[in-house]
Amino acid sequence: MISPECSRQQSRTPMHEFSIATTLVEDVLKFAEQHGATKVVRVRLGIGELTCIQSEQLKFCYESVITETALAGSKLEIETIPARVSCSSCGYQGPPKYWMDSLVDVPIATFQCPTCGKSVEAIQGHECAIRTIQYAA
Amino acid sequence: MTHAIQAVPEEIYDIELEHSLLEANAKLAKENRALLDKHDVIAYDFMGAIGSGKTTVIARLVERLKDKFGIAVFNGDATVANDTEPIAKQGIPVVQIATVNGCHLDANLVGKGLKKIDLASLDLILIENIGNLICPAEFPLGSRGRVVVVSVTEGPWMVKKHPHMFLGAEIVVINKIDLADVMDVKVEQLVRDVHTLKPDIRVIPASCKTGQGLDDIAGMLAPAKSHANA
Repeated sequence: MISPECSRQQSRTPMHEFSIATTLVEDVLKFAEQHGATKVVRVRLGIGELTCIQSEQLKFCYESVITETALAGSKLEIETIPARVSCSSCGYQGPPKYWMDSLVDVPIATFQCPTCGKSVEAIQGHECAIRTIQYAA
Repeated sequence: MTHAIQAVPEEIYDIELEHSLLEANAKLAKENRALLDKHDVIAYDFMGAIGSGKTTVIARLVERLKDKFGIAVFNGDATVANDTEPIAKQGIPVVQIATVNGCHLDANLVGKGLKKIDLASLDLILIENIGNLICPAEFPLGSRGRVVVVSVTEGPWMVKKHPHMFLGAEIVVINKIDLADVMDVKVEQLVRDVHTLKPDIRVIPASCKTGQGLDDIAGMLAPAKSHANA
């Protein structure tokens, strides 16, 4: 039994950075309007190390979305939020254990406890949030 | 005495906030989860690259589970899919979700799908995400857990190349192990790689050709009780 109606459901976007950029611009425009901004100068984002959101792709998508809005000409700055993990077995809290492998350029953050080797949970590093919006009144 | 006067071109202000851009999806995912919990339905989402064998693994799991449990499958595809036939012909509800070239399912689309089916008759929903190992990681759907399907035909480095996807997984299926020798891929190495990322992930080497591992996966996904056939 196939429900064909569902095939009409739409998602707008071909790349997750693009869908995040679209949400970002919509939300910034809303905040700017609430504050009576005439022009947005700079938007600063915090993006967690554990997300797979690419800063360069996000900036590219941002540039393509802001044309002809109050954000045109604004600068997007992205700050990386480092990962932190918590171990329920030994109580460790801090940076994750990194996997250094000759095949990869950057060390891979793992969810293996650096002190006891059990599995850990992330307590920081999955963020994707607007931190500040700088605007001209 | 000289007085210096400097012109201020525009007054610049800062709005300080901590406004999450993933919050809208996360909120819908929580609503989906609450709806599922209310009906005592467990959902798992399946992720993996194109061609890793997600659809076939799901079809084999449905064969093993459908007589004991009320089961439905959500199939996400970038365009209209024609590969759900082996699942639909088993007589279970299938909800086709086309993201229209979007790279991931989101909680909103899954939420719409949940409204299309009779949750009271179900125990388990298997959600097949778009074939993509990167994008879906940031978009929870409201499921209880994530199953990542990776196949030996994707080569020996899949785990190292896509750590994000595995870090969020409860179960990893290493599929097509009947082809491991031909591909010169060491299954044990892939298992070790997953456990290096996160020691408690359950890793099941499997083959839809020989049936190896499929009963184990079905056992892990089976709900504790069935109310559909009660």
